[in-house]
Amino acid sequence: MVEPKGQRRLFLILSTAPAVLLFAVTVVFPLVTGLGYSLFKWSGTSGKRRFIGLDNYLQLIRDPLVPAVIGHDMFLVVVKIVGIMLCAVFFAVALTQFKLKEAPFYRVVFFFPQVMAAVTIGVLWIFVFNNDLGLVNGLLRAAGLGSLARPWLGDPAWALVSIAVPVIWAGVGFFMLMIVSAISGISSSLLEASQLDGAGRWRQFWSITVPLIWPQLRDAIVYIAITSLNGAFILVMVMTNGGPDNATQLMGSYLMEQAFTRYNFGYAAAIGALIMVVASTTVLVLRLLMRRNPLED
Amino acid sequence: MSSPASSAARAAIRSTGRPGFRIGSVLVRVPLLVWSLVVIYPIFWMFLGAFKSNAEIFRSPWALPESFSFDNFARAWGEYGVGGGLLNSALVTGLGTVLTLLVGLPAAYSIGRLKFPGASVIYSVFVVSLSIPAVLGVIPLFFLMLDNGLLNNQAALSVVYAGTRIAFTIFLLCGFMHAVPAELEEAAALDGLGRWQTLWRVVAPMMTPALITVAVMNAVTFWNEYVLALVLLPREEVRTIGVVLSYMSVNAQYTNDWGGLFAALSLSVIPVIVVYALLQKQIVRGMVEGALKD
Repeated sequence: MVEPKGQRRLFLILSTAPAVLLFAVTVVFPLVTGLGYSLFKWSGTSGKRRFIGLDNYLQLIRDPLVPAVIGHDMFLVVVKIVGIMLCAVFFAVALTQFKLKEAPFYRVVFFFPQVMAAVTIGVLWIFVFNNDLGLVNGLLRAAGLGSLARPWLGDPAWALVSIAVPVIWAGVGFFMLMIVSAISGISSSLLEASQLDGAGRWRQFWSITVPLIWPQLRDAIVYIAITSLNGAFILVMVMTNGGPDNATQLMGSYLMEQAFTRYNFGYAAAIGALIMVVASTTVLVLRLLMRRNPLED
Repeated sequence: MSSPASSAARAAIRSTGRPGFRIGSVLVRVPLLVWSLVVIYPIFWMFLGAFKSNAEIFRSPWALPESFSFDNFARAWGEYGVGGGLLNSALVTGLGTVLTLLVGLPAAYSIGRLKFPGASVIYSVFVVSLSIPAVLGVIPLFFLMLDNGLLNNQAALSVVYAGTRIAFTIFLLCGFMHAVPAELEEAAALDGLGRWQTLWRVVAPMMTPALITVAVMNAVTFWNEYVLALVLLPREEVRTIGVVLSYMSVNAQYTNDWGGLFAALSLSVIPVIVVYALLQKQIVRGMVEGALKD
């Protein structure tokens, strides 16, 4: 293409600069500055900002709540991975192996919660778990198991488990479609060949489909972990605000509480750094664990 | 060569299948139907509750409404500020979506198509940023807005929104850039069109499906966003619908106005249902492919 060099350069700069600038101001600058904040004791008004080095991080290590909060996040990551993958894989296989006429209905319905706001899902599920009016206790009472009914979100032993339910509820459809799209990518001649051999549908699934879609399954699992660590705390903020007695507190909700309820901005920033470390470690460990295709050899 | 008879026999076998197949397809429907119910029922229940008086909700929380009353909707819209919240959400969502496209498309064109030196570095930084937990950024963004008098400014929030989605937008658009044939651009250059004209008149129309997908995905994200909206638009008049809902939910513990809250929830979901019904294919494709590529 014939084009003066200066003109091309001008176009490249004018087309790319706004995006780079916007990204720098709203993503890079806040993350870098945030890490900087973690070295200060700071209650918000700029006059009271005092450099304290790594003291916030020492406080993080001594804070008895921190291991519990990390544990809650890890609990949700594990429950979410197991719960979503079991349901999503089962439904995906059901939809791809059995040619059901109403398959589009399931796709549309199962995916829908994915486009609902976390706040809407949270408020809706507060009702579902409501002690007097909720569906869960209502079903238990109707089944004659009324003794099991309890204020789910108010019970320290059950609150976090209860939070995990809407998390799975909202995610299954999305990952089901992800796996369906992976399975559809397998060449059908491979599957046909195995059917001629008389392989049963589930055996065919484990010995042929799973190894072939393993890269996508692995990506899905990592993606579940990332989205859980990044976003599950919003449900907690809406549904329990970390309670009862911090039983559902996650790293993200703890950061928000320290920053915008207690105005410990420096300490909150240190929690933010912790989230990054925990998230990247989790992803790294998951990738290491799933490095090899367990079914390939 | 297969005779007509044997192909008919094969067709017969295909239609009945193996004996296990038909039982299997009945059995497999049970979990599918149960899960459909699990997904639909709470949402259905929320809509029903929106038409019931609070007394009726307490008396028979699950039953169909005795009569359909719009009182809850009127109260939610006016008294609880759901109307204002929807308007504010529409404003930040609209501004943010347009801004993301206006900034994202030219950059995606330069990075993904013209591949200038350094383009791959910028692209990698964008892609890496997609999996970094961003909640830490909320604190500096709060002070950035506070110090510059931009707290409670909807336009400022939409700029932040655009920034948080620019990496994803460019990432997704770059993936679709190869669908534009290079010959078209060459023809445009021969016709004397400049780069900008080529971009808006030739490339953008070719990319329409991708642009719709990314716009809808961004719009859904902005409409549903909670944390930034909570922190950057705290004043009552500028709150977005999600923030209005969360305050209503806290207050409902004391007011027991569940009917009003159900109505507010329904009003917040209706726009999402409409968009989902119209653009379900684009949303699903964009979200599923976007997640698989990183």
